[in-house]
Amino acid sequence: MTLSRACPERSRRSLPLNNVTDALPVRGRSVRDGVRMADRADAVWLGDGETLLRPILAALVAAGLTELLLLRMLSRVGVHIPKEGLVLEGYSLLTSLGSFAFNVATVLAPLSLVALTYLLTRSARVGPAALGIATLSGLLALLFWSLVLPLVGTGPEANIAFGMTSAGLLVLLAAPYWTNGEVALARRIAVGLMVAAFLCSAYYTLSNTAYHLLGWTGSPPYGLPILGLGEALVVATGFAVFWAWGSWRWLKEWRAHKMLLALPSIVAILLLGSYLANGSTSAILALWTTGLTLYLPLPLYLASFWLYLVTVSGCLGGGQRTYEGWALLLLLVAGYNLELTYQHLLAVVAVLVLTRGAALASASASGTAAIQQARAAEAL
Amino acid sequence: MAWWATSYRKATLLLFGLVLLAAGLLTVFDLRLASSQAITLTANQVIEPVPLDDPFAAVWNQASPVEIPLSAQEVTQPMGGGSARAVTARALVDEKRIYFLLEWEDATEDLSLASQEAFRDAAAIEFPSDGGQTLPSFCMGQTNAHVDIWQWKGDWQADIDRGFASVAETYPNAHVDLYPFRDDKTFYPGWAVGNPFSQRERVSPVESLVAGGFGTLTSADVQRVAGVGRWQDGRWRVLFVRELAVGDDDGVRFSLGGSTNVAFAVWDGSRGERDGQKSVSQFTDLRIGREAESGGISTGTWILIIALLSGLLAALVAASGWFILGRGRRSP
Repeated sequence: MTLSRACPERSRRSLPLNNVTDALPVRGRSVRDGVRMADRADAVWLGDGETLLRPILAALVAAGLTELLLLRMLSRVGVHIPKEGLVLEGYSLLTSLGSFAFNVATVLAPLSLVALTYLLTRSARVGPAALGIATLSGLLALLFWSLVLPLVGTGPEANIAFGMTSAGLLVLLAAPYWTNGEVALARRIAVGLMVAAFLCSAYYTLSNTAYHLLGWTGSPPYGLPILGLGEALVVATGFAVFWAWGSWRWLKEWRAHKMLLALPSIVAILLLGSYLANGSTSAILALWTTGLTLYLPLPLYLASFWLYLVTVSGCLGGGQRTYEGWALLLLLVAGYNLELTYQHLLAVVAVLVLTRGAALASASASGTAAIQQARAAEAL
Repeated sequence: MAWWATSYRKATLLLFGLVLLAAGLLTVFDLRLASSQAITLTANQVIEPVPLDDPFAAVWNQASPVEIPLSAQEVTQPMGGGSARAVTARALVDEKRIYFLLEWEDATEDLSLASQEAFRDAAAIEFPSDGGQTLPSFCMGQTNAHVDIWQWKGDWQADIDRGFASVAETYPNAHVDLYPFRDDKTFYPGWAVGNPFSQRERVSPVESLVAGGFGTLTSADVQRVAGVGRWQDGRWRVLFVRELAVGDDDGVRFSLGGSTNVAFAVWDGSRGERDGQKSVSQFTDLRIGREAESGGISTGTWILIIALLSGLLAALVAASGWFILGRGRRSP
């Protein structure tokens, strides 16, 4: 039993719990303050035990994965394959679908952030008040920039403003999580590796842009080595994610978890096969889709990716850690090199869900409880 | 059923309806609700002349260098390369010309292609032929989106600097009793029909090429790109120069204040790199001139946006503080 279930009063004001999805969303809480009009209004937003966040995030994951597969991968590979007739029509249809999915995802990403920000403002205070205010301000600033930049165009000033906001926000989200002794060490390390990798990528991009903006000649110190270090951290993240949210039991008792392991294994074998068969199409695909250059030994990437997918499969398959599963998939879609504002939003949404899930759950619970009590009153 | 539960369903349906409508409109009008945050190479505008024969000239201190990571070409045969891990790219522009300077580490200066076991160092720049309206595959473009490629060749540079390297220079100990018509073009078909690889007198070490997919790489009809490459202390510096204004069919068009995309490739001859075996980058954003840096927005507009953002942030901080502290007080 999680702390929030054992002690709902404490969960409203305490730091996040270890198992986010044990608490998000939560059914069957008692209502302390009775049904207020404000809570009824919240219930409209939060829904019947499932917040509106849930369908938005689910749709975002679906749209993100679709655009990753159809737009970033299929369209770029397929363009080099001779096609005619039905194959050409099918290819055109799929790439159009990928383009549409991309647009759906770019609309849903800020919506997810709005929903998460709203829930965060309703949640109990997490860490020092100043940190909470800074986080909320950062989230709103990121939303502002992500909506304004596509309209007004980008430049070095705008890119630095957006990139700094995004990087600062990731640190703000991760900082209380790292310092929270109630959170399992493995999860703190996993989130730390994720954010550190993003910061390495951000350093490379932002330092080059800043040099240009300031008119400094020469290249920023250690730009490419830090970019390479970030890629190594991405690989390490795969292992850490399994340590944090996976279970060795899945591998030891693999016969009992065949379904859980099947899809990740198939994907990993396909990647290995493509690498061995036609000379690393996977390498260029990795570069296109995620920004990884695959400079480390391939088995490291494969093992890390496989464990990552196993963890996602375990989170989603059991139904107990759906939000973590979605967050990990969103990280995958975001990739390592965040080249679009949309990818930044995905990364922030993913880290936000992974680090603040329990706090959001308490907000969700109040709306859930409100609607349940209202139904009970209606039934009487 | 309570009104709010019904409203929730309606709200959900309405929300997703609006999302799909917005995505549909974006697709139809070819708009994107995302902007690039990738690294950008900017061609800074300069007034003083850029020497066309000195890639180490001081004027290049006015350029903003960008380090571009490279990787081996792994899409089509012959795959391989990847010995150069990065290339530093710089660009300048004046009223008449645009200049690119590539710099990368290479322990050896490889300038000969004359023998079967020798391969030259080379470097290339690639642009979308239509100026970036459609971003093609960086691997030689695609059928509906061609690319323009400028390739500097070490052996061509040597031909210009030292004269054409014939068999006698390549194999100084070779001996023939009689070699009739040795200067008669008739007996050198490649030379006679204008094959660029067979020419003995060169104007530029840079070849301008066009491509629309694998196997379509062709020398351009009009060669307008000049350049020079110099190897010094284990590093190559290669300069590419072209006039800004060209005819419709004379290659990619640039304009002051405009933007497009650019990709790079480097070959290390001593490691046997040639053809598709090379180190390549993805497309990077290229902005031309200072006017392009702010995406066409004036400094005044930026100040206004930043002021509005600051005001918004201040209001949000105040509201957030009030909300959080207020909630804290209400909670028992």
